[in-house]
Amino acid sequence: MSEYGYIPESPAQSWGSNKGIFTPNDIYDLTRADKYTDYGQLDLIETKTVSSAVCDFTDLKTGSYNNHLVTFTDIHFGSQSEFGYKVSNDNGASFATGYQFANQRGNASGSFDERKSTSQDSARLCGDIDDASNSLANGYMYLYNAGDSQKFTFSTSSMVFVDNTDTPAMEFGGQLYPTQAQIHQIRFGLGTTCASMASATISLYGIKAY
Amino acid sequence: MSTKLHFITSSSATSVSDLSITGCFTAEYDNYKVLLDDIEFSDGDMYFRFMNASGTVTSASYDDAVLLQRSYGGFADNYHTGQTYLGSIGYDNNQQGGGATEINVYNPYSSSLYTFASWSNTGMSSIGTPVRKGIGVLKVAESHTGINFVGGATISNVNARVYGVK
Repeated sequence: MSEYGYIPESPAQSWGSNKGIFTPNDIYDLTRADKYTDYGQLDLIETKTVSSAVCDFTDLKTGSYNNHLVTFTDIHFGSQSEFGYKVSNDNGASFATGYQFANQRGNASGSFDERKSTSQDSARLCGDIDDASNSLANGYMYLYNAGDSQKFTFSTSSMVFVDNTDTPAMEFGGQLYPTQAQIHQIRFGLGTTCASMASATISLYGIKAY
Repeated sequence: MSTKLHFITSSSATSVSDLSITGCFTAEYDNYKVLLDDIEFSDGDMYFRFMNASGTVTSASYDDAVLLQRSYGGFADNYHTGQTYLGSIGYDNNQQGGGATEINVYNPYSSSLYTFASWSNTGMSSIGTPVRKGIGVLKVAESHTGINFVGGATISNVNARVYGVK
């Protein structure tokens, strides 16, 4: 009989490679030993890589997840602008305006600035990036309450990028869509219109709760 | 094993002065992520403290530094030493969810290290969102097993989830 008591006896167990028939106690013990394949509470919903396009996530799976994590990899623009998002509560027929945000920006040349608005057409995440080959943005944001029709939708963000003057920079802050609505879709893109980006890879994760 | 979050527990409350989540920090994880997606007040700020075997730690041993980023005005540096709590981690006077905060907690269970935290918040006020980025330390080297959220006013609604970071 193996340490965990399952059948067959003494199979080699590791995360991503489990063999045998498991009782609840086996699963509990294996999970505690980090040997049970459980994709956990940070679940990848979708990764999208776009070229000369906006990046739309058309299913946030809000029936399963009220909160989300979004990661940004090598966001690149064809012209100098800021990076941000817009949400849709009508299944993508339109994307809303009227966002609030407050971000702190700073760069390696010693320039630190406040970026803020109580009514912008997009929720700003960082800026400015441009068409230079090394001018890319990377980072993440948490999105809260997208699935709750009775609450506003919030996000917090942290970005690192090389700006349009070839200077490494950061921008972190928070954004608010001040409307009670269930969010069906989210669009990431260039400028306050969220237009096409030269290239980008963006991943959407659901944060599971019970 | 891949890096991931392990859901530990959640708790919510309505019309309370504070909310305690006990037994959420154990020897199983060094670091934790706490997500609050409901922080509602008629008009108030949220703060937090840690808990040990005797209950909530209320000694004047909390130091913090918070950048308050107002969408409607100038930013402000808020910092304290020798407080009895950490924060603010969120302000609301408009409800509708009130705000959302991500807190990272480091080494809470260790009996030989200080307990560290960092947080990011998007709050709500009737004139625009106040955003906060903060760090704090409970400068007591003892084991902490829980977290206590305390309002500067009666908390209308609060919901918090605790994850272990693997």
